[in-house]
Amino acid sequence: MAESIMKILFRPDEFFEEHAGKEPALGLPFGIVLIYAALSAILGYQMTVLMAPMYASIAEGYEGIIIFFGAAGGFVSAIIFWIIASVIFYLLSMIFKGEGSMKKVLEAVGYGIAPLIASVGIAIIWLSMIADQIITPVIRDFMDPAAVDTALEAFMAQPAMAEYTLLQTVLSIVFMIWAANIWYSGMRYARKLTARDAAYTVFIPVGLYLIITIISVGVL
Amino acid sequence: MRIYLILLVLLAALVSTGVAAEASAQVTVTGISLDPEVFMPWDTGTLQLTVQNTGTLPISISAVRLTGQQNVEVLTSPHTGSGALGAGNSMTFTYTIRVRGEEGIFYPRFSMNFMGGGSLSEPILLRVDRRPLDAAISSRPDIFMEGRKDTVVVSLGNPRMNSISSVSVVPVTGVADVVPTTIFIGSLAPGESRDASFSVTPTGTGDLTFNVEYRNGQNTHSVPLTIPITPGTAKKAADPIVSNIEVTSVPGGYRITGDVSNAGLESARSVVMTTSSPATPIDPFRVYVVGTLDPDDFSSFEVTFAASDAEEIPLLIRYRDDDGNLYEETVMATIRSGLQPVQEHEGGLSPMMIGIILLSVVIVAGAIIYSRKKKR
Repeated sequence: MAESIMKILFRPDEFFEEHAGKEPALGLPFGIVLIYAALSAILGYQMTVLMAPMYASIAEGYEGIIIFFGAAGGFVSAIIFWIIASVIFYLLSMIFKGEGSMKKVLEAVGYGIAPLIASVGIAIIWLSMIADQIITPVIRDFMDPAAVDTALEAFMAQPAMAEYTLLQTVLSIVFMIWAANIWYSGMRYARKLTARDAAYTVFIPVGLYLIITIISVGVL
Repeated sequence: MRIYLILLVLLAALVSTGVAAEASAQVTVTGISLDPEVFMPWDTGTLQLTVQNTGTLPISISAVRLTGQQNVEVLTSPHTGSGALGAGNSMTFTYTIRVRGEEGIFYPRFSMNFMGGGSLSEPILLRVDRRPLDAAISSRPDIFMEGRKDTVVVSLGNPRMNSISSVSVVPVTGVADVVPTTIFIGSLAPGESRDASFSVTPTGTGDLTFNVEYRNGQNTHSVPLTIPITPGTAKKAADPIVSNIEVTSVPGGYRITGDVSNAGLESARSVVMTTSSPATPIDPFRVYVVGTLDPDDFSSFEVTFAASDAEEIPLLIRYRDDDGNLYEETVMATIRSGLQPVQEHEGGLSPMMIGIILLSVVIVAGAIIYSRKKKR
């Protein structure tokens, strides 16, 4: 399994070429997605714990529930990300008359998520290191949108939080490019596409995603 | 002839005597007025009498006199008495009198003599009552607090049989600010009572005297009421207690988090937490506004500050009572040994972060290049 993972990360073309004729096996890809989802849940838990005091005035006694939803949100969003990315790639590859099954696409996209695990892992470690430096303002009046905005802005603008946001964004971009490299190879063999068609299928949506990410960070 | 003359003179004398006696019987006292109505010992006042000739003939007055007693002294007697009182007419006589130290009921006597004989004599009922205005402190705080405004109520009652006038309460002290500086009540009818309310803000230790002044007729009397001002700690006052203090480092300084509880029996209003020298408050929580803390209520707080070479810093708790009086309490918070402020990166990224990003970029770039090279 370790050899497969290394091959996926550093020799994706070879890996997917070898698996092109085989029946789709979702075991390992699903395992990768599960690890990614579990780490996303931990990251969601960390962020919710940090932000819980912000909601103390209206949710006193319900911190546990809020934190649970934070963690569950992280987990579910990772699974949804896998499915949505697969659907987008599948639909785009249909333009280029791709032939493989959706299951094969799910397998390829699942493998491609492997680099993102590193991105989330580093973010978890970094957030753990700076947690005690983060000050959480308390929102006393949730009926006042300006007060909510001010508190959120103060929370995000503090140096430790701003640095974390920047790091997470840069890492997600860098590792997303690595993931896109894997998806490119995966889609090429999963849907029997030419190199050019596979590049269009993967790099256009990923490129849009990265542009939106960069713009949103710039706006923040 | 001589005998006739003597008989004539005797007859004339008898006739004139009879007319005078008849006239005196027709002069009566129609009105008596005392001011004050009831005297206090050593009071000075006026007695006013009105006499009326209810007969049909004028009458000549030879003497008018008010005779005092052992306890009643006639100070001025402006009427000598000579004159005539026409038929149906009235005449008023006014005397200034003063009573001495005894109390009870006395009867000075008014008398009037008429030309040709006859007289009028009338005892005047005069009461002397030494009971003064009742004055008492009906409400005051158990314990005064320096700088805190409290209310003191003076209750006034009139137990006398006559009205008293010009009642006022004047506070006299050098150890408190008292508002208002005087309260004028006016008149108090018999059995009537009134309250006078003062706001007292102690500034030191000493006595506070309320001089209750009033007039009985034209006589001024006063009743002093003195209460000691000894500032202490009010039993019901709000009592903010800070607990669960935790000092952690933040970029450029430290952060204190904790809980502030009200262990008193009154609400603490506008509770504000901050730090003072040698600490310097910094953003984002220079000041933390807790708001109102009801008795047994608590709230968490956090303040941020910068401090160098300080092991303890004062944590200030400012709050107000229901009257707006400001209080300030200080709790010392200890900075853990070895705790240092997190270094601030002035506009730049930390070296560790730059390293992580660079390493990630190198790894990813290497992986992509490697994967493509191998393919060829």
